Amino acid sequence: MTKKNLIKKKIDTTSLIGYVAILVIILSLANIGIELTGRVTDTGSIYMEIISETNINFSVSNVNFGNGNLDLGATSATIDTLGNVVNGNWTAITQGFIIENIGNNNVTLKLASEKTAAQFLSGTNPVYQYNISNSEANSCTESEVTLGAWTDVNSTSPGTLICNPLDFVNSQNEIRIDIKLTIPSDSNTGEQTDTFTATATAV
Amino acid sequence: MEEKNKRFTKTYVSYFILVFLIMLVIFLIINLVNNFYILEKKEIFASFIVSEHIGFDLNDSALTFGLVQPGLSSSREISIENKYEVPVLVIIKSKGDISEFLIVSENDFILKPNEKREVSFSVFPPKDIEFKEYNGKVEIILKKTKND
Repeated sequence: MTKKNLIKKKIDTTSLIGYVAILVIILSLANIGIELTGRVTDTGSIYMEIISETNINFSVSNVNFGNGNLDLGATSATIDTLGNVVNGNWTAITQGFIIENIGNNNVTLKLASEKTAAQFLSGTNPVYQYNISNSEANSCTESEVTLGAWTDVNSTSPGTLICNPLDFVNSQNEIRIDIKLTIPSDSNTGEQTDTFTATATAV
Repeated sequence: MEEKNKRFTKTYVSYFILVFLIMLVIFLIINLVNNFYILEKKEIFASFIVSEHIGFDLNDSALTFGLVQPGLSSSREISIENKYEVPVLVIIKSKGDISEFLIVSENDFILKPNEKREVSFSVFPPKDIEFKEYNGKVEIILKKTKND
């Protein structure tokens, strides 16, 4: 046997491909086996629960009161999302926030702002309030606030319980949140933004 | 000459197949080693809808974030408790078009036996996002730690 033939026999590519192919098949079967059966040598399991609570944030800057000034000589101006503008030249807006319960459970709903009136507006006697109303009749059963009345914002987490519950039935699962600001003449200038957090918990 | 060319082509193809198979073997071995440590995998459907309104969907079998306005956020939590007798490594992955907007509060952490932790998931749709439903899956993988 020549040296060349000996090397050829030692490194026979075709045979090598065959051996590696067999190895691929064995490893593939082992992978499938582990994937299907999992390992059974450890006892126990994991307990997992999706918590029936959620937080959604929304920003007051989204309401977009736009630019405006106090009337000359006025000590404060009041604007709200119900279309009222008093002592100022802001454009009247009539769009509050709509919150829907699109799930399959009644929920309790808490509302918290990030800032207080003083932090948001500053100045002398600023007012920062919200007003909860049913956008669809019988959606919200009032709790710590009176529906349709202006209430000072609460910046202490998780906020004020506003609906107990907010219904999930399609024709009665929607509320509206309106915002009112009384801006003192010595308040912050420039764009002001605050974020509300609405926390819903299934009941 | 033609015979020589044919032999050369055949050898070239053989080597190509061999290299491919060797790469496949390496991939399968890595996969096998990884899978060997997996104790359990759970998949949870996750979704949110970009809308002008704000909305809740407290489904307890899926991570439904409800209606979210562009530029704002919504969050939910999953409680994970280790009922194995050994510490486990928890790895959280996401799939689908929800992935790029989903943030998890912690990942790749170890849970001791009977330890329980609440992991928060939040979606942050950007201001220029298209108004539609985004969904996908959250995969929770439990691995045996390599020290055990």
